[in-house]
Amino acid sequence: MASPPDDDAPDLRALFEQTSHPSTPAQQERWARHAASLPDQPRRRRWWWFVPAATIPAMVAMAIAMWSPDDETAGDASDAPSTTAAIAPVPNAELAGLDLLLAAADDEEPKSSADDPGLPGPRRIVIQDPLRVLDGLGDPLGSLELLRPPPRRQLDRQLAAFEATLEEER
Amino acid sequence: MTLLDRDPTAAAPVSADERNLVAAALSGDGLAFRRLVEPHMTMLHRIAARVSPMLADDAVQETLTLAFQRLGRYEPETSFRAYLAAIAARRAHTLARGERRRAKRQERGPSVGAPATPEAELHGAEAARRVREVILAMPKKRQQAALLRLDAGLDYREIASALDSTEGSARVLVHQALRQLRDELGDLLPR
Repeated sequence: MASPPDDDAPDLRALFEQTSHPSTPAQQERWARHAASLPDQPRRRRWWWFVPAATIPAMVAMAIAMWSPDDETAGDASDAPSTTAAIAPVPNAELAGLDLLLAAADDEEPKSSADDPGLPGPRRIVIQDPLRVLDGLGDPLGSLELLRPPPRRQLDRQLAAFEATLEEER
Repeated sequence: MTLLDRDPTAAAPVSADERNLVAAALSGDGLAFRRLVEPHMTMLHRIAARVSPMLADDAVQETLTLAFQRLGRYEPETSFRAYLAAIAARRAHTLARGERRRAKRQERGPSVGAPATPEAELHGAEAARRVREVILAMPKKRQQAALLRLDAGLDYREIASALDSTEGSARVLVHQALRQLRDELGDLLPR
């Protein structure tokens, strides 16, 4: 009997042996197969592993929100952040009007005449509220809402320029 | 093979072979883990069936799963048998607690397993039921000490390792468990 060397309960040990439930060879084989299969099973993921992953979108959104389009680099197309999109020049005169409207969304007020986008050329749309980009990702049409109406004074000036262009073509 | 027929050297601290098997199992070798746990399955089933015969099969399987998942935390200089037995005792305690709650909800007494028809078997089942009742009524640590001592056959050093306590505390817990068992099951003990 392979009991512990300092056996202090041979009577209880005998009772426990008498009332124990023997396992069957079939059970033992099943457990052995289960043990052998364990390394192939995916390890249970801890719930807190998901916390950092879940916070990534929020952290990205916060970083975008903290970035200001009024930064010094905002006007530099080569450093354009992901919230800006380049639009190719539109040769058609009528479509050029649309291009002007899009260009007007660049800034609420041009800082100087040099900043005025002027006539058709490479244009950038600056999205005023970067957080809304995330909302609009699933809905391409929804992204149109990102364009805020340009200031009235600037719009009038650009419409006048557009009409002058049409007049010259006539 | 019963627990009492096991190799007495199994109580020794982890052998070099066992250490290699642990390393192989940690690197994803399923057969190594099988070889590691196979000698202890009878002991695991004894512990699980002591407190919950109906759920013993599941308890052994869950014990093996937990043992593998926590294998990285196993300290190679301690007894692997004690490591497995500790998980089995805790798992059995948890399952038994759930079983008692279910029985309470269904307004039945504690589960006693399938009734046996032959008289001798009935007597054995009755003795097993009484042993189980006393075990289940013990405080958690004392209960685990009793299972590790009487069903797993661990010595005090291994029990201390399994319960994450000192050898002195293990001796006290086992002493209290044995006294309670003798007090309440005296009529079942051989004279």
